[in-house]
Amino acid sequence: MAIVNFFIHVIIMVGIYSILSLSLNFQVGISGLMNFGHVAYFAIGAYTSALLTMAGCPFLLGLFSGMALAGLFGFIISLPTASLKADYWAIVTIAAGEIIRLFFLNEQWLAEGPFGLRGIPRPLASLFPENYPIFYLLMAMFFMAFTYFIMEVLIRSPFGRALKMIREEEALASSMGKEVHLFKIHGMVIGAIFAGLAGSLYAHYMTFISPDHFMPIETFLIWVMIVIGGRGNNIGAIIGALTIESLYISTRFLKDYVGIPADILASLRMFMIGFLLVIFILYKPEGLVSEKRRSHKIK
Amino acid sequence: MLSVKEVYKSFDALMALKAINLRVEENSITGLIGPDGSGKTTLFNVLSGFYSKDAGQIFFKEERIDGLPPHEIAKKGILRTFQITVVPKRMTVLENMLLAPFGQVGEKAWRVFLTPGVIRRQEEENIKKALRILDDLGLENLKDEYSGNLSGGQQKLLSLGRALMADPEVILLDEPTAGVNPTLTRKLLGFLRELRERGRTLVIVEHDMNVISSLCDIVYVLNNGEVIAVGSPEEIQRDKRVIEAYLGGRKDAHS
Repeated sequence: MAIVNFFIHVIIMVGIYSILSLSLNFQVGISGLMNFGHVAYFAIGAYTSALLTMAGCPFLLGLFSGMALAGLFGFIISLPTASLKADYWAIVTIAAGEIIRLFFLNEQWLAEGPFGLRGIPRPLASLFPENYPIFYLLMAMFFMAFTYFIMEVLIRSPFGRALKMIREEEALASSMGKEVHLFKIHGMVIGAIFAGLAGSLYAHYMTFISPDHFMPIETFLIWVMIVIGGRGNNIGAIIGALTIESLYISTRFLKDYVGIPADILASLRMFMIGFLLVIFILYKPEGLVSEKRRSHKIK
Repeated sequence: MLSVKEVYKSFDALMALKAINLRVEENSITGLIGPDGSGKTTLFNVLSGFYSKDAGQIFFKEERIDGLPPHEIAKKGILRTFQITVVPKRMTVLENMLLAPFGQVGEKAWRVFLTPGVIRRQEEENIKKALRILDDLGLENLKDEYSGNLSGGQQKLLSLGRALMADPEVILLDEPTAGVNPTLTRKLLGFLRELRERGRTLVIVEHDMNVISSLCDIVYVLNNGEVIAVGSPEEIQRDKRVIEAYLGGRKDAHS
């Protein structure tokens, strides 16, 4: 039974991280927005949803509020920075990610600071006293599919096409009448909203969150997922999440089988992921599944 | 149609444009020639809003357009191409074309979900139009090819086609024939003449005197950021100052 529970856990985490990689892919892969602070929106979704439900709000209200606040933060961050060049923009996003973590770390009155929030309610837990993880797995899969669907529709739309043009040639886009900074703000907000969704799902699954869960390394892991999976491809984003997350979680149990202390193993795990990233960048830079070429059927 | 009045532009100590006066008549092809660094591309950048002018005024159909950002100038009906061809490389030829039309409902994220029918109809119309233009340019077989895989000449044609998708009144073409093979150049020139016949207004930066004389109604010659001569291609080629500054005084300059 233990192995089944383990797989259920892996798949739930893959579902949550797929939502993160899909939303980051929308920004990085499609819109060319170098977001290195994706974890900020994840954290906002998690904390908002946790705090609201702990105060007695229903789960869905917490979830939607988490998404909305994450989107709002994305909007606030991108409003003054949308006209920055990609490299400066990237720096801003790193800072934004750390600001959110440090905010929750230092503002103890709000969310217990470094001690984190414990006892975050699990939605509909009373309905599934036996196999709750299976219910959560279905929910995670549902939201992953929902995110995938929204992203696919957006990418195939004229809106997604304009974002791709901005990714490829920004000056050309403005010479063709596209208001580049508005599109960038849209890209940032949409990605942030879905990272907020992932955050909420994460908080209610773990039932405990603390600022330690939202270190910059998380953003790095999501980046690795989309680089390995294939930038600009939604299936790739999911495959990347599956690869990295299962590698990440399963190596945790290596200590039971090999005589390596846990702290060394943790570093070794990051080393492995970093090594994988280097291999991909060198030998398969387009990732496992490359961006789909759009062909139009002509009637 | 488009008039430039006393426009100045400098970069630090370099005066790139000095008191430029220029009039582009409707339904004509206006040529801009001059040695490298004479200010042609700078003028294009000022006209299309990529650079702000230091002084002077630019009017499009009696309306001031200097100071407007590039996307607004584009929406008024003035589109430009770039000297070094820019194409979104990882997008297909047809996608390139479909980027151009203004007023696409589907470019608003929420409309994608709320009014998919309207968007689909718009897309179908735009695809039809794109295929017509690609057919004119001889690119129809490449419609699903990544534009980054096209030859330099084909990319130039695609840039022009993409501009046409937006139905601009004025097209600013920066060296449309540079790097294009002779066969394709002939085809391109024919196409540009046809555009004038269909009522469009073109402004062309070009180095090739043959292209200029076979195409342009009026030519402005720039040197060191100043207009040193204006006239028909024949007049220009006889102008002493032009021969000195640009044509290099070669006897065979106008052969």
